Amino acid sequence: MFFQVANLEKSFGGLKATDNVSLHIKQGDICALIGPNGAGKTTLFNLITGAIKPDAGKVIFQGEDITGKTAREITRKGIARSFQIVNVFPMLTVYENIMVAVLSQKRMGFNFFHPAKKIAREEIISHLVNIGLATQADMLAGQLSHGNQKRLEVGIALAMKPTLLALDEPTSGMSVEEKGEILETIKKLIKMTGCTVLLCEHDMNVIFEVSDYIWVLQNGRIVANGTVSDIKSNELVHRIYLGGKR
Amino acid sequence: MEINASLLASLVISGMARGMIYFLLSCGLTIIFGVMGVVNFAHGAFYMLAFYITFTVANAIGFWSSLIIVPLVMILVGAVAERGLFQRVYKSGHVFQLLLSVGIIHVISDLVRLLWGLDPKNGSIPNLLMGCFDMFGMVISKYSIFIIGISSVIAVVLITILYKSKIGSIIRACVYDEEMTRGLGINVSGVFSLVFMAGIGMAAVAATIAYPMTSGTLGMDAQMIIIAFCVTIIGGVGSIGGALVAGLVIAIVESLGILVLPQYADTFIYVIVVAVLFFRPQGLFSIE
Amino acid sequence: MRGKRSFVWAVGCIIAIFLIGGPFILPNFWTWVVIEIMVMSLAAMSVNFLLGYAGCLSFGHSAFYAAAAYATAIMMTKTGMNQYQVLLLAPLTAAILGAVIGLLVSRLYAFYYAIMTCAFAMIVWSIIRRLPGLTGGDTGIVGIQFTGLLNGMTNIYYFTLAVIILCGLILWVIGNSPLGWSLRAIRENPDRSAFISIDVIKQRCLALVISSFFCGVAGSLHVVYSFGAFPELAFWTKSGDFVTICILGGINSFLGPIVGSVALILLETMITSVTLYWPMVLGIIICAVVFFMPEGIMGFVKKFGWEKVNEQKS
Repeated sequence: MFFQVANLEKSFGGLKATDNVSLHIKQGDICALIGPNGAGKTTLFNLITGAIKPDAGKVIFQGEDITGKTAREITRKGIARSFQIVNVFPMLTVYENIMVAVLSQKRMGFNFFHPAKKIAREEIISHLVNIGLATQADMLAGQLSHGNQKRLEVGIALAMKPTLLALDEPTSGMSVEEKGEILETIKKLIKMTGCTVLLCEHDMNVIFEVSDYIWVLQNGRIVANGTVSDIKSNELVHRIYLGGKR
Repeated sequence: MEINASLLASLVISGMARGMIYFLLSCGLTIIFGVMGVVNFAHGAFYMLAFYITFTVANAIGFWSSLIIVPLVMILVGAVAERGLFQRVYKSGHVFQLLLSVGIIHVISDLVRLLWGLDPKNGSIPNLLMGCFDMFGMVISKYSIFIIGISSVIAVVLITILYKSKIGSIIRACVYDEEMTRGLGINVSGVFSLVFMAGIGMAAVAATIAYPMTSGTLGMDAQMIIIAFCVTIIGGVGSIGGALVAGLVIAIVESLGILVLPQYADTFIYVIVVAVLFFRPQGLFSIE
Repeated sequence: MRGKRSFVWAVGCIIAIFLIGGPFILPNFWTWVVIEIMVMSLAAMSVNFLLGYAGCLSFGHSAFYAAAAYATAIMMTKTGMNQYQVLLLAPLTAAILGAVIGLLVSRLYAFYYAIMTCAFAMIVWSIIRRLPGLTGGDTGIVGIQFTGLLNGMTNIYYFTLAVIILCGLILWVIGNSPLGWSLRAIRENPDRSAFISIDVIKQRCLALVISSFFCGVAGSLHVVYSFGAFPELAFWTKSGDFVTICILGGINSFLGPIVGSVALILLETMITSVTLYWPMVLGIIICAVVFFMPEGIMGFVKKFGWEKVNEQKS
């Protein structure tokens, strides 16, 4: 299996944020993680990418146990993530934001004599073109619009050349038009790079449009999984999303 | 020097006395750090200023009145410093907050030099508390007992205020989440002023009761601020109980260190600090 | 744009001529002041390498400054080593000290970093005073004479100038290298940096080692121009001066520390000739910078000076 999570557990105080979660992702799939607010999606992302350590369970990536490894090691192994709440380098320009990621991806962090701005220019610019920020390359990231910061967020993750890309609500806080645009961009990029994607999203339309396989999370547990049509017809998922209306 | 139980005991008692002074000094620093998120580098300088004011007041009116007057004067100084200076950098980040304190240190220590001159200032223990008494064969200075007593009372009052009163719960709420507390309609900037004044007032009390048994020199501010930092690091930021334990530990280690390796008594403290920092960076009693 | 560039060139040329002609143009007293400014600039640049790029505020650089100064003084007086070997080895002493301290503090941020570096500087200070046999205790080591290229004011001046320019260039290159940019990323957002595989702790530690090395170079030069090493070099106020200079000059600018040390030392020299109460004035200057000029002189120049130049020329 390409990526697998087995019996993962995490509690905060008395609250079980992740309760015996097991899921798996096939290589090349776009896999979605859905669930209502507070279902534990971001916690699961944090556990997978090494932001926090699980209490129990295993995370296995390409046959290797990466449970409890640091975020830096996990990123190095090929899992890059974007953040739900914009988390870029605000006082660096857009170009520099991508540049630091590319330099790190090339393992040049301890190189101290090459002028950084002359390294991998084409690659950085092609990343910028891909995420549609080429014209804003010299703007400070902190001055970008929210939508463009989210694009940059995805761009930084992609600059790490991941084999598994974990996108935590890439469209949160965006207008309907912006959502459509960034989704197109993301779809195009996934096709181009061929990386596997774990997508966490609120917007069901988005999910049904892009995903190959869906996992449904509620109260920290996986309550359903299947293809888009499975989930669409799943009684439980309807109940979760439509609340007590039935 | 022959080491025996009674010597050891009197060293521990005098260490405890100094530890209580460290505690009084540091709890101002730690609570200001905890509540406002500002490290007041100038805390030691305020202590020094209080010490020199005590010198003047004690010589003019007497030690007992200085015990009241000096803290009041310093609370006033604290209010001016908070309203006029520190309040303006709460949002400016740690670099400017520290730099501002450095500026204040320069001004205060030069002011002390200008007003009191270079020669060291020695206090004398008031007649009432002179001498020692003999307890189970141990020789214990009365003044040490006085310090331990008065500081214990202050510590109890402080902890009661902090954990039992309304203002105490507001202060603790500020330590946890300032924004949220502000959102509840509480005058946070008023709380800040109050905490700052109280912190400086505590430093003043420490300086006043330390005055009879220590000697004041121009470098004392650096010495005291380093100790206060050590206490804060060992005890954990914002923790009064932690400051109490850490202050006592540091002073007793210092006292016993003099017995073992007199030259390196303060090196032991640094070793403890480094060890705490290495194994438990948030401090032993951190509330976070 | 052209007006701005030619203005910068003109200022640059005047400063260059002034620096090259230094000892022949200036009276002796002011030549020594310029040497002091140069040494202080290097120390402040090393502090700003850490503060400006990596965002780590160190109040402990006096430890590195003093360590290298004492290493120089001790090797010069107690061993028969060649003076150039000494000047190469002494900064390495500072770098080793930097590595030891770096291992302990690189996990810390903001206040904790500042306080702990400060505490280590005070440890160094107390050790220096406790070892009179080696360090001369409170009086320090005095009367160190260098020979040859390092003898006499003019030679010291040019030697210092050359070393400062070389070190400045190296710091510039490192600052613009991938390492420098990783440090900026860490300054901006250490959490995100981990998610682009930057080894935050190691990089911050390395930054401290580099910074302490160049601070050590400045410390060694201090012995060259003042002929001695004193315990006050390790006292925290020295670190405070470095930080003050950085912020006075502007931490977001490479030239900031140089501008800052020119401004501060000129002020100090002029004010101490009038009154004994320089620290008071310094304290007031610091408060003024904090409240009115947080971007420092270079920030001020960029904001107002450049615009004015452009208006006049265009």
